[in-house]
Amino acid sequence: MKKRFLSFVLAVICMSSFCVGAAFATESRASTTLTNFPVSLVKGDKTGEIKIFYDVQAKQIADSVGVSSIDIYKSDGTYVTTITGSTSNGLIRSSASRHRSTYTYTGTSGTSYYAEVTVFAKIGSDYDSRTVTTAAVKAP
Amino acid sequence: MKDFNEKKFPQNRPDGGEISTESFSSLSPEELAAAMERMLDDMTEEDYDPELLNAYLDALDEKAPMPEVPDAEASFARFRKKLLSIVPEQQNTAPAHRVRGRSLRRVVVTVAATVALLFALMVGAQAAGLDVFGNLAKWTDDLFRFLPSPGQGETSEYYSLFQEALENQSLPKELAPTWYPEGFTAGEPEVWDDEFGTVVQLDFNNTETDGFLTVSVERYSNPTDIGLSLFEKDSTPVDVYTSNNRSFYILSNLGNTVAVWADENLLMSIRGNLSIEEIKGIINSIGGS
Repeated sequence: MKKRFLSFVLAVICMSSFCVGAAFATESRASTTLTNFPVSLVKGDKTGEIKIFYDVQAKQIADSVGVSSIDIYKSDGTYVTTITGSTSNGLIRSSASRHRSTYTYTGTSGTSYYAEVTVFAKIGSDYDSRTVTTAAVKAP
Repeated sequence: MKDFNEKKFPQNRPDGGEISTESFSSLSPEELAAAMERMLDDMTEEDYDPELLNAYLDALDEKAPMPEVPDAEASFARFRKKLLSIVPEQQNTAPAHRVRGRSLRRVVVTVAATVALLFALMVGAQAAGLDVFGNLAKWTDDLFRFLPSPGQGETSEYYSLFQEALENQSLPKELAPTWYPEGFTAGEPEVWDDEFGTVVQLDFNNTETDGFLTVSVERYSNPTDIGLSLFEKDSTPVDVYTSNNRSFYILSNLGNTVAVWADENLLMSIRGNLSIEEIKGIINSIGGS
């Protein structure tokens, strides 16, 4: 009886240490300026078009927030082109906490593409970016 | 070796008279036993003489009496004494080690089995919706205070502003908080409405404390797109806080606190450089569903 009670106590102690470790062992990927940044690639409305959707959210009102670059590849990995973000092409927004929009690229109809989208937010002297690789989409 | 067959063994019954034991006395116990055996072999049913047989037996008993019923304990004592005189007694310590070894192995197996069973039960409970691991993480909190609850204090001036914006975009207006931390001011709500969904967002700031706060409610056109949201977080454990049947996941992101709630294609986030208590106060002020 005494041995069984001791065994049970040891088991509870072991379980507690495992679970506390598991609770702390969550994935961490902190950012100094970014909160959330969904990105998606979808078919366009016209022939050959693909659309890159992005919703870049900064931690607070940022000096600039949005997409710094979009690298387009064919589904077989062949590099196609790079679009550099700016306020003029609408990929970057100033003095805002969020920039959500869609960028349309016209490629070749019937060709499958994927994109590597680099998002960023600049708040004062803090700057952080992340690159998201989308799934491949076939241009209509 | 004597030939008992050749030696004469008188019957000791001259003409059927009384048995004479004189000849018995000259015989050794072995000779007497052999004579009795021969007598029995020669005896038939017609001339069976029980008295003669008893005479042989009495003579044998007299010459070599039967020992009394042996005493087992006395016999064992004599045997052990005799054995110890040959082999000295040894100290037997080996069985104790074997017993301790078996006992330790049994404890380890029991502990391992109990750990496996408890872990399986906890995973099952987690899958059933009980946030067992999250509650374990909560044990690390070392602060407690009472939080504002719905209805306490004045309703924020931004409540109706945000509520109206939600209603205009066909988003649940009851998600508008009625309380915000003191000193925070906001502009007009910002709205996004595109093929991917609808968003209503309100940004606050506190010029005195350099505080900032953002509250947003969004609906995804495609419910599966809600999986595109990946919130940055540091190593601080995620806290789950439930108010009015809504469970908010509270994350930490390097000085920024983010509280997120989702229901199918609806997502609400409250984020800023606020304390967890202030975030929970805002959550508490959100009305029931």
